[in-house]
Amino acid sequence: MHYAPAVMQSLDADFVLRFGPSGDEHKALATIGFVVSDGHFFRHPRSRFTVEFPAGPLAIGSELITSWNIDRKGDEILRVLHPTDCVRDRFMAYYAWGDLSALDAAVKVARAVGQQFKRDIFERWATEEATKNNAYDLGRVRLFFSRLGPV
Amino acid sequence: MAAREKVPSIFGSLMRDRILTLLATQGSSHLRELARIYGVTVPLVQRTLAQLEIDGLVVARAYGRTRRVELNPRWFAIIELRQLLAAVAIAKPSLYDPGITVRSRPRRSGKPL
Repeated sequence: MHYAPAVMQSLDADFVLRFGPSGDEHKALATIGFVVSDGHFFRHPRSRFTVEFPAGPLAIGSELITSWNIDRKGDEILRVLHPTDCVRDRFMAYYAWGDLSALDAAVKVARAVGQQFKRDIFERWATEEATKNNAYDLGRVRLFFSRLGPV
Repeated sequence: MAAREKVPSIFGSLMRDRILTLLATQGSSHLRELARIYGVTVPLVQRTLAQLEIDGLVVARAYGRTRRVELNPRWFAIIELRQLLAAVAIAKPSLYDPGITVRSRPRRSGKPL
């Protein structure tokens, strides 16, 4: 994970990108040594990470993500979710699937980014999601905040 | 030597407390997963689940060859039970904490675990 590398990693990197004609991503990634595996994702012999290009749109719950952080390292540019969106994305897997490992990851990322985690944005979004979809249980939001404690 | 302190259970035994709290926080689970999460024997979990089913607190549904267990949505006081378990989970996270080692969100077919 970008913001909290020590937190359990899922070992996959998802990029929501728009390519040209079908197959362009295969050619581009092949030039740096990635090979397609099972038709969906790419592997590199020297990386533990798999790379995938989900169809998109980029969304967390029902909210479309339209802005992100840009990290620069020399000539390299990495576009990543905002810290609060990263926490929301991890939490969503707990909200939707009851995945306790995702709850734990969400809490650890929120702690790692400290003040960059916007509690009010998270809370408002989680409440709205529960209002729109009664599959989501606000008790899970309370559990998240109880585990997080003061940041 | 100090006598071992007995931790009072809420629902009759530590195993019952653990299973009910995990089901409340995770949604559902199954026999072997519960045994693995808590590092206990399958027969112990089996006995505890059987009694919870008899008591009406838990139901099991078949998904292929796996029986997944969950809180019984038709139990007469399920709303109050869920509220109580939510409070218990906040007060005693150690009851469900071992569950964070288990991934239960879907993974696209073909992807490595």
